[in-house]
Amino acid sequence: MQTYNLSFQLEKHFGFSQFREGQRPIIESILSGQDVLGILPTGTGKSLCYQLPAKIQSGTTIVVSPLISLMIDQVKQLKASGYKSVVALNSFMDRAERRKMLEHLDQYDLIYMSPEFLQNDWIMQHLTKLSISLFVIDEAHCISQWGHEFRTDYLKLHQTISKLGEPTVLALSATATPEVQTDIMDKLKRPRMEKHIYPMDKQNVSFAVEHYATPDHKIDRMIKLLSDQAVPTMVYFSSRQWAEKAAYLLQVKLKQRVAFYHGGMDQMDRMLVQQQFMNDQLDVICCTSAFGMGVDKSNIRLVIHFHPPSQLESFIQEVGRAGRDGNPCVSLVLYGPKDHYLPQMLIESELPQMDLVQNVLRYLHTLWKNNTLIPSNEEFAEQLELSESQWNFLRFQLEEHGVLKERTILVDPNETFIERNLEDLIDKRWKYKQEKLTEMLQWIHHNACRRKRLYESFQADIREPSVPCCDSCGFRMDSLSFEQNEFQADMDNWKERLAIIFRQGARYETKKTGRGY
Amino acid sequence: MNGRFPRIWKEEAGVFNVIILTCIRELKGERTISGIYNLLTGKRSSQTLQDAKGYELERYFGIYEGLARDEFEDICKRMENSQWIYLVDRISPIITSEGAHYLHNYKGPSFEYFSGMNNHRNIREFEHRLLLVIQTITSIHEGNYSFIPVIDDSKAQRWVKRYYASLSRNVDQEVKGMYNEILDLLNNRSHLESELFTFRLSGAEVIGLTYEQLKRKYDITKEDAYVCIQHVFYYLFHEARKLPDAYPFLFACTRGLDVETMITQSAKHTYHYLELGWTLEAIVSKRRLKKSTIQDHIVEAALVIPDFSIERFLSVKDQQRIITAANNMKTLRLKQIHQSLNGEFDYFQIRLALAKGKKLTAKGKSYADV
Repeated sequence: MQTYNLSFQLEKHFGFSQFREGQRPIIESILSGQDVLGILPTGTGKSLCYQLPAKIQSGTTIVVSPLISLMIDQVKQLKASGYKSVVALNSFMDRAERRKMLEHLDQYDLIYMSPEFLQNDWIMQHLTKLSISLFVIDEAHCISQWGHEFRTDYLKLHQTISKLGEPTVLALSATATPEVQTDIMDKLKRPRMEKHIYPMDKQNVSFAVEHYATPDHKIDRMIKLLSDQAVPTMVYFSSRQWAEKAAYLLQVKLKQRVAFYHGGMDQMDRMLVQQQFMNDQLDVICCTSAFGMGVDKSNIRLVIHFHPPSQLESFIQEVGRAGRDGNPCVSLVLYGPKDHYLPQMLIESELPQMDLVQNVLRYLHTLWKNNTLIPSNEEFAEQLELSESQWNFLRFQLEEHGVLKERTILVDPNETFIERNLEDLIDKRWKYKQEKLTEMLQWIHHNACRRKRLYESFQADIREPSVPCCDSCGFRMDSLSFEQNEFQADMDNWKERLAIIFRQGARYETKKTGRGY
Repeated sequence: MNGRFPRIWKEEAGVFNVIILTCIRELKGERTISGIYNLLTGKRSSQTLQDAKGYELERYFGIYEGLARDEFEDICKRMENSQWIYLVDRISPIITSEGAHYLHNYKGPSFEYFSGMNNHRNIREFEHRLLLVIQTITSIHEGNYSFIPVIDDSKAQRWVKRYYASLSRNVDQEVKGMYNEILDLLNNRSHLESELFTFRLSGAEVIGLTYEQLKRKYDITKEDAYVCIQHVFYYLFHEARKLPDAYPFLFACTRGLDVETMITQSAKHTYHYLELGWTLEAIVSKRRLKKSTIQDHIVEAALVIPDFSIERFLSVKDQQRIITAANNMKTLRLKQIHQSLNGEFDYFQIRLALAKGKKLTAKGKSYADV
């Protein structure tokens, strides 16, 4: 076995003098060829656990990541920090660009891609030519049907791993209950993974929940709160419309600089808003869950949930974006009597109802009789009025039952037990998601310690917080006193602004000013 | 805006309204709202190309590629409600005297630099280069080599890398030079344009604003913000090309961006067969396309390829007769021309004559032909 001076390598490739908690033992195990399941809370430097081995091992490291935007962000940050031999294969690239990259794959230490890409034969052909030393599954809870982002293509990863010559496997997640952890190893068919589980309770966050009769009351509450507490703040919404609307309302009433962010904005606008926030040009972001993954801003003091997420895991991740600098921070949930409807609707759009399933099976039966291929994914979903995730779910199950292979129907669905099996499965997942939502709602209505309740399904012991614990344990929102941000009024005209952009003119001859607006 | 902006920009805006009204005026009720949308978003269809040429609206072709259809329809709806326009048959707008009055009294930025037909793709590239190179060089000047680029376009990123590698002056001088060129040129634009453009730029320590933010900051519409900024890019592009010695940095950003041939890939194939002497029917059966599609390609070729001869479809004399008829009636409506010539020519021939004829008579108009 080769030995490495890890501290030296860390300094050399990343410029850090010390590992953060959990990183070194995971890296040591990986380098010795041991498969690892790593559960590390958000903001603890999970990605370094494979970025460093990728640099010092001779072969290629593949990272499977669920979100294109997350991949692109990570690659950008890596490149910006001087880590150049990295690429994200993604559907934003045009064919020519993709081909060029595939031809030069061996030049990269680190290749990010989505699980869907690994199902592409053309891409797999190129990958099998490489020597893969490490196979990483980021956000590994996506593998588990009990994880909160269940993605069907994740379930085929074990095949990919064996096609790639059984490289060392690293599965990483920030939120995985013991049942999810077992399911991950199960689905990867890697029963002997070494578990590295780190506590996820955040010691520097105080929790509070407040109840309001209407959304307008919530807005008023935020205006009051943020007028007193001018600190970097994220507000989570479950719909794009609300994120925009609330941003407008806050902009009018607050002196803070407020913007909204959601997945419906164009690429450049998203990038600008994100960077403004990181650059302290914005104070409050009204966003959907699309914002945050990969955003590494250390001084977020306040995370407000205007709507509750559909499960505790998402809530924990979103709260995890606050206080990465270790200083005190606060999670505040604003809850209204009708707030359980939205997550409910979301669950409905994700899972097909039985009548839809029957439609699909009938349709496949007809196609099978006429010996025709099924239409493309988009067409199929549109014709049968299925949402994308409903069709993904069904397609995977059809493939698992041997009814479908790509666009060919292999057996008459009526001759299988698929309908009954699907009914069971959908019922199970439906109940599961309902239970998850109920758990979230119960937490909101919980009367005893919120911290204990929030983390108890993830770990046995809850550490003593370094800040007031929660509203049940005596924490009061009104007693908050953060160190206030200074606001620089946005008074410049274009000539002054131009001078700032290029750092020209009088103000740069006399003194260097800090960051502005 | 909390009294932060004493100046009321709104009164100076309205650029986009004015552009739409101008198109409507020139189209004289002969084209639909959709036709105008296709023109502004640069749809590469022979109908749109023909409209752009025929009605001398080339300069606006493709100046707003990302325009959302529903937003555009809302704007037209508002114009109708303000009685600036009137919709013939519910779809074809004509300008009213109110609308003409609005156009006449418009006091916002002028927009004579647009040259969409020839340059809209060049300008997109120019914009990407400029935004990225400014962020890059100012960051490097600050000693910051690890910044996240605001522009994702890998072509522009490669260009910036090459540009940086080829710098002949030191970074300090380069930054000064960039600043002076932009300052100098912006001094000749309206205050609003300079404001919008400058706040869109990202530098070492400030990130540019989104259109949404510009809209709020200046209390104008998102479309006005977009069009004004685009116009500044066109302006910088043309000024740099006119005076490369005065604006070496901006000129460098325009290198390699030459006037595009506006022919679609499919029309190019058809054109290729025509060049080889194939008949229309032979091309139809070879390419397995509809006859009308091949005819569209031929009209497109007539529009955009300067020395393309249409005599095999229509004699010079007949071309003249069609043009004369169109001029006499002051219309480009095919039906009217067809009727006035007693049905002697089919629509394909009329379109062909108009496509070619407009090229013969087109006047050189400021930057539209650059």
